[in-house]
Amino acid sequence: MSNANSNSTVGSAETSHFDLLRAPVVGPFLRWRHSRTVLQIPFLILSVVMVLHGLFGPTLAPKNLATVLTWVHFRGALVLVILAAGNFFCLACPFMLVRNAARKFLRPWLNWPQALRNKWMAVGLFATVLFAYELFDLWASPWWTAWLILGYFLAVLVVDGVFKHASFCKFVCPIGQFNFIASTLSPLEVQVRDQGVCTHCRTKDCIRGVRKNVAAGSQLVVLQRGCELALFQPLKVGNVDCTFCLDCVHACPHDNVGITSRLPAAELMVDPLRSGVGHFSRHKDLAALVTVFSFGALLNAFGMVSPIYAVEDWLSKMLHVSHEAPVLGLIFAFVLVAEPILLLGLAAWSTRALQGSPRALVPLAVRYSYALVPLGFGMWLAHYGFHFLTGILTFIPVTQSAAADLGRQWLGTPLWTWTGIPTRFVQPIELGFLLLGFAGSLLLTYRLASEDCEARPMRAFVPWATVCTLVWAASVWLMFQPMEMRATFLGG
Amino acid sequence: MPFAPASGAEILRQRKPPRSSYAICRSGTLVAGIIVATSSAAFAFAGGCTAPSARRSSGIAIESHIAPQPVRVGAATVTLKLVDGGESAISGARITLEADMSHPGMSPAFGEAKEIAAGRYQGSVTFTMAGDWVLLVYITLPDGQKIERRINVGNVRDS
Repeated sequence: MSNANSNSTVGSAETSHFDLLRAPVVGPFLRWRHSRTVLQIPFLILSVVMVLHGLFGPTLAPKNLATVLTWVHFRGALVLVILAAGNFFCLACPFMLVRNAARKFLRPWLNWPQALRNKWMAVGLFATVLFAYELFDLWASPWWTAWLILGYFLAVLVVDGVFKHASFCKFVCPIGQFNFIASTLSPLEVQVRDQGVCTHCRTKDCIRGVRKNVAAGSQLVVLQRGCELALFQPLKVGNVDCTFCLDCVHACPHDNVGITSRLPAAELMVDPLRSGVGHFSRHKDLAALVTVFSFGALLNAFGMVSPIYAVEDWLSKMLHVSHEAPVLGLIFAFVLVAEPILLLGLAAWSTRALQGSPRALVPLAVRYSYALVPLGFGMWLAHYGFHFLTGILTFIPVTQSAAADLGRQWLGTPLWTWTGIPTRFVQPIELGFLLLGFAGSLLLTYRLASEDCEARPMRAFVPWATVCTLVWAASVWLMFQPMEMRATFLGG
Repeated sequence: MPFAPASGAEILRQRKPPRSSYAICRSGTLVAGIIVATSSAAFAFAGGCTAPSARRSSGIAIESHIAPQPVRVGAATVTLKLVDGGESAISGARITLEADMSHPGMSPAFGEAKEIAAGRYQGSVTFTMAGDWVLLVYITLPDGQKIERRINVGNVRDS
């Protein structure tokens, strides 16, 4: 696959593309230097309210703002906004507002360690969050949910208090990693409008930031940050590692960075050298993140349906244990490690055998693993979209109840019957998301196979399409299982 | 994966600064230490605190029974017996029932319990899916006193 070909597909926006920054109202607002702060403040206030209600409010999850807003609204809105637009939740991240405030008093002094400049730690943390969610039944506990939010604030302050740039966002944040992978399918991307302008640019403010001497002989003062995630705009390709913070937009002296439309998943079809990321095909860590993202979607949904309890019961009897951790650990190890290795390994081996070439299996599996992203995102959309749509109105009675607990009756009596769209209307939407993901993965697989083996693409396509079909079949099977949500283990 | 070092010029060259393995190991240990310490502190603090418990009614004893057992998806009959501190049955109370899933965002079920004998009340709620439910019993006593009782209905099974 040639880089020239790749760069012509993605990397800069043609002038005919839609540019959100040139749209009326929204465009001028986002170009305003303080737009991010204005978006972050409501989310910070909401976070504080959620933490307080989680710690001191009702202990029942459906009656508490911490659990309702986190596990019903935040997750659902996040995936739908990524699907419809882009990574705008990172733009409005309240954790970064607190970090920026803290950095006015606390200057980080270390660079992020060389050995950890990859996604391995993020992969582990992402899997740990999924594991903790199931083990501690976080959805059922306002108390733990509040501590999760507080822990997040603390982690951001500690990591970015010690390490320079946006180390937490790039290498640690599990939500950020989820957003980075999911937003490869977004229709919008922060990118250069005209590469020609960048060619003649000498200052490179988009990455270096805007600095000025405020007084003769004094140190340079940063007036506007450049990209803290090391994405140099002219060489940036796609949404991976982009938090939509718009620092590059504000820093560019030529007004040459926009939020422009593009073909969703286009960045997964090509393999150019990406600024701040490198080549996808050479990153086992990124491929592992994609795999955990995709198979984790199945696992997270599996935890909400009846068969999980039969499997747990069976395993606990086999292992003679009554504690959930080892049983759950075994299920996680199987779904997130053994199953992907088996499926991707077999597909890579079959591709090699069908092509009759002596290619190494791991690079082959790494390259094609990115085709699983649409399938995984389809499952996340179906799962989180279900909770969001069927419970979209639940924040209203919970807010009324919280106000009533504080002696404020002006919101009225809680309308507990207000929930959301009936399940029978949401299920077809879920199926639509799964089908969309399946179609996306098949198209990506075919595109990769065509680039990989121009003469006989079907020989590479068939093994990987088989993997996609198996994963999709598992997703559909999961969707039609009866829901069973327990906050206890081995309850039978 | 390259990451922004101290200066912009270095970023443009994407050059990794040479570092000794000791320095890398030391910084890596620091990062791991920070993450472990932060999460341990948060977990230890959270574990040391006690989550607030459900409100309890003083002087009034409430006995509850749900049929069928085990509870299955569908309608269930809830029987409640109310007695005061002197073991006398409490008649004339108004009782409403609300069943919630342990997961937020799901539809709750509502019902009302009627008095079937002195101090004995019976009503029905419909559990719409399998899993863990919480039954909230709202009682208004004849003297206007309000009592709320939470009953965990774990492991409702598919019918």
